[in-house]
Amino acid sequence: MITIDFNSFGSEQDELKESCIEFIQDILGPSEKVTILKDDENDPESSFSVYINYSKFTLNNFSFYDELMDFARENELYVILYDHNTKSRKGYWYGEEDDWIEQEMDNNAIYPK
Amino acid sequence: MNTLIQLARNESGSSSPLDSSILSLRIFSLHKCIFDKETKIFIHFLVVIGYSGGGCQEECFYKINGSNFEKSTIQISTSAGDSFYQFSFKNQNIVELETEMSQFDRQIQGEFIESINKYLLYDDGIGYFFFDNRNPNVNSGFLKTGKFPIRILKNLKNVYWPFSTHW
Repeated sequence: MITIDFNSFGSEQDELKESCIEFIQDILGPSEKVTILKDDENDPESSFSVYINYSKFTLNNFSFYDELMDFARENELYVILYDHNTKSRKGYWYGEEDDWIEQEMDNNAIYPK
Repeated sequence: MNTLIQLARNESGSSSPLDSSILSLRIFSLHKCIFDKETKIFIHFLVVIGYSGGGCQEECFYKINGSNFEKSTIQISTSAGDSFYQFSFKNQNIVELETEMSQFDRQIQGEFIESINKYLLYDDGIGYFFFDNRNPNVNSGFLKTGKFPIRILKNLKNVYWPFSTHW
């Protein structure tokens, strides 16, 4: 199972959030779960992240990296794929390296299941 | 403006450790992409301007269908004619983007002249460009003057250039 994490959205970027979810479900099909988490729950103006879960994918069988990268670059978002089974993730940090970077995570990684 | 400049060395190579002269250059001056919902693929557009000795300037558009650049087809359009350019499909978004890019193309030529003076010096007499090769923005034959998807560039580096310059 993977969680696709898009971050970060400004509080006024609801439209971008919607188009992000629509884009993902357009190319990957319906997701099991979509979670929106604010960086600061007490701040109404807080930026937020979007987490989209798919149980059918792992980091290895996922075949839409190029499309995700294009979307992230075009919309100036970071996108991270976290694999709950292997506790590793791949991220594309827009504006930094124009490639995916894989990282091992510890048990404290917080990605909603 | 996102700009990358591909530097083509003159036949004699560098003239000194401090600077290099080049006869021609190719500017990847604009990249945009849109998602086509019907086909579920991204379509990339790039404006590329080529300069050769004597101030000769040519330009063309690249259109890349899909996000996997190793497999995507690349279509080329030149301002002189469209013999290379055959769309397999067109929707309103693409038509609008083409129009926008065509207008933007004229604008970036003006902006380019201004910004490039920071990096390159053009000698009218001999028709060469000169650049400081110690500039950290010069890397692997490219001069990076802004943000540009390197991944796309790696695949475009050897793409057919439809004009008769030294590429």
